Amino acid sequence: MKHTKTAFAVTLITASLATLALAQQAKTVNIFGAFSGNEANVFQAVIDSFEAKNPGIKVSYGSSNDFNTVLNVRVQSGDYPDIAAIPQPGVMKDLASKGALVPVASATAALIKNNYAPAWGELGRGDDRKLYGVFHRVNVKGLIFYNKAAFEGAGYKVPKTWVELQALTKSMESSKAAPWCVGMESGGATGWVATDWIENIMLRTQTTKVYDNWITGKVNFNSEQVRNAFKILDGIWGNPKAVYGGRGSIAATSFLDSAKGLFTKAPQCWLHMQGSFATDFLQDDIKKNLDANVGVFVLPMINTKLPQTLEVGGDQFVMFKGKNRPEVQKFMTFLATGASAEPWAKVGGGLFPHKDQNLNAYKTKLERSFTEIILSAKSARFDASDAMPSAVNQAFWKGTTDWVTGGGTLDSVLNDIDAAYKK
Amino acid sequence: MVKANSSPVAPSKTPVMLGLIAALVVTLFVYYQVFLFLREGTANPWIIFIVSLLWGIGGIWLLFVLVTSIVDLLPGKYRQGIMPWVFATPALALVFYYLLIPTFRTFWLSLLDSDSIKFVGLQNYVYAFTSPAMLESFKNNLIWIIFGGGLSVVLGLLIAALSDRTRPSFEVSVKTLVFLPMAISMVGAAVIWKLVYQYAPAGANQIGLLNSIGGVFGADPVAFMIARGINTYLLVVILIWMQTGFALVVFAAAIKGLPSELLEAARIDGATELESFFKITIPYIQVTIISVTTTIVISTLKVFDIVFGMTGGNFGTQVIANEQYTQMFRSFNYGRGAAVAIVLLIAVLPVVYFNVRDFGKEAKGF
Repeated sequence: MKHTKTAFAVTLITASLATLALAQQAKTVNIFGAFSGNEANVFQAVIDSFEAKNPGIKVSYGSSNDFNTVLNVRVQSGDYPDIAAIPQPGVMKDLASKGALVPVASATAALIKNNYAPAWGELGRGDDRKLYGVFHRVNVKGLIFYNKAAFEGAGYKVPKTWVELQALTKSMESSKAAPWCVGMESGGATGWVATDWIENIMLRTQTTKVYDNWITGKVNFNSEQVRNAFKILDGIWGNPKAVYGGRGSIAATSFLDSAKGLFTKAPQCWLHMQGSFATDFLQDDIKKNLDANVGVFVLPMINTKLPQTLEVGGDQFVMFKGKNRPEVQKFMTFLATGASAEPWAKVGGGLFPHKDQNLNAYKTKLERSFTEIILSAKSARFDASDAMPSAVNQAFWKGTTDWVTGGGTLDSVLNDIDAAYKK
Repeated sequence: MVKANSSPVAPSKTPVMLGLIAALVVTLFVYYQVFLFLREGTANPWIIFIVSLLWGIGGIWLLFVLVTSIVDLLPGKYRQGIMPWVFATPALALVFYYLLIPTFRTFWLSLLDSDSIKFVGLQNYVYAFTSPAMLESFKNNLIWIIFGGGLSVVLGLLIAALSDRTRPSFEVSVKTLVFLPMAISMVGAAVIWKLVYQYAPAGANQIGLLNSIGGVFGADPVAFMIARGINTYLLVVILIWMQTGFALVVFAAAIKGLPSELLEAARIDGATELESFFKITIPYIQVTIISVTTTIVISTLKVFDIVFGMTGGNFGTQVIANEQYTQMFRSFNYGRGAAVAIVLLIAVLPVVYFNVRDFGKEAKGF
């Protein structure tokens, strides 16, 4: 018995030491992101095309539905991933100012300068003006979706201006469906649909300068400019005839379900405003032929004196401190090329900002048209709430939710959000 | 067993002892290497799997054998004193590392600002006791305790007492049905009840259970989850649905332990059923009632999953634990999050004390 034990112990130790000495730690790039499921599978196609060109490097992608929480815990404990794909510039700036990130290599920076519109490079900069982020898949918000067959069948025309849009929705109020489907329920993140609406209205009523100052807290929430945006939103959401189910349904309806209202057997509504990703929420049989079923136009400018500005969003990839190994840099550079867009564009579900991308690769004309909207935009701004400090973003979500559901007056809600800047 | 044949007597002990200590040092060194290797985590997954399996089981065994052998070689009086610690130390170390240190660290964080850099004194506690979100949470947690805790216990006791009087086959099926929800996780329950409370505007297809039943009787659909004033109570119903089963099973076991002579004697003395229930059954199982109540009260104080899954704390349903999560992991305000966590801890402590004290009583009683 004694000898068996000793023999076992000796074997365990020697075998383990040998294994540890011999086991090759592969050249691996670890990426951590917020997107999962089908999107992660498609991203694997991007990884595959990189690995095919760079034998010897393995790239692995992992995700969490509670991305921000997990990333923050990992950063706190020093357990950095090599690369993270961060949806919120506010979070990127936080991490950069804490010294957890390293700026991109010069090769990557050169590509960002030449291959992207300047706005994307600007969004990738930290407070120290250094370039940290590479944008890959992006989206555009403030798109208004409609059911092509029903819309054209009813003889409606796509409005070119805000006045035309208002006239159109007014005439829709007396039809058999409501003008708008709106749903903002999104679990703990309830509120982002409303903040997206406010942001889009802000971009269409105020200069980009006001918008930028609003993000940094120099323009208060309780200011004439922001109050005006809420007033315009109230004109739509607060009008019981304008929204399917009325105001009381908005917070009780999931954002996933509200888009489907365009294509129910008897359409519940004519219009639905959402980001380009909303095509993913539609019914399966509609998704099979998006080009034939879905029509889209951009929310027109409200103040026509201002130049058209788009609201965009997207994940930016950043490298962590001590992790900028050559293979990691190589992958970051790859993400800045159009070649990294093509595998995803082919499958669908992603738009890309790269100038050198192959537009013919997009699976649907619809997605290609979204991409063209992004590429041709003279001016673009990021989702404001995502660019605000996390605490303000949270207060903004909660505030709009309270406002919509009668949990507070406009004044109290706006003051509460302003208070979140001060902490 | 471990008390190996290597422990007989004195002089030859020293070399063996040194050998064992050397082996222990080697093992700990290898453990450290294994730790580094696993932390790096980029090797072939199969090698990672085998190494962690071997050292998770074989390594622990080896450490245990080495340490007990060393202690065995010590003179008797030391051995008696040290041996229990060999067994208890790992568990104590884990409690210390995972429970005690984080508690003190959380307290320290609660005195710092949102990024845990500047000392701000009790400022976060001012938030924890005066902010609208926390006042709403206190009010709601009170509702959870009184209605959630109270109704679970009362219903559990009622069903236990009544089912005790029925046919055994009927009793078993009732108990099984009531107990079944206990097998579901809180988040799972939230998903199920989402379908019960689901709302769609009037005229649309109502897939929510309550609204479709209401529709049969011609009632307008109600958006239950955003209906301030009733939504917290509707969430409490979920907890009652889950916890009644727990209370029922424990009470049923306690009632079964009630000697039938007591009840018979009461009947002979002319006590009614109600009298014997209140004057004999309840006093007899009092200790059980207290420990079940405190256990459920603790879970209502800490309630998180149901609120998180159903409303995200919106629409006036916020509770303390979810407010802690929101501050810590959505607003990234570590100071406030930690302060709220400490407030919750302090609120739970007295209940835990009652709970543990009565466990002690119960143990002595048997």
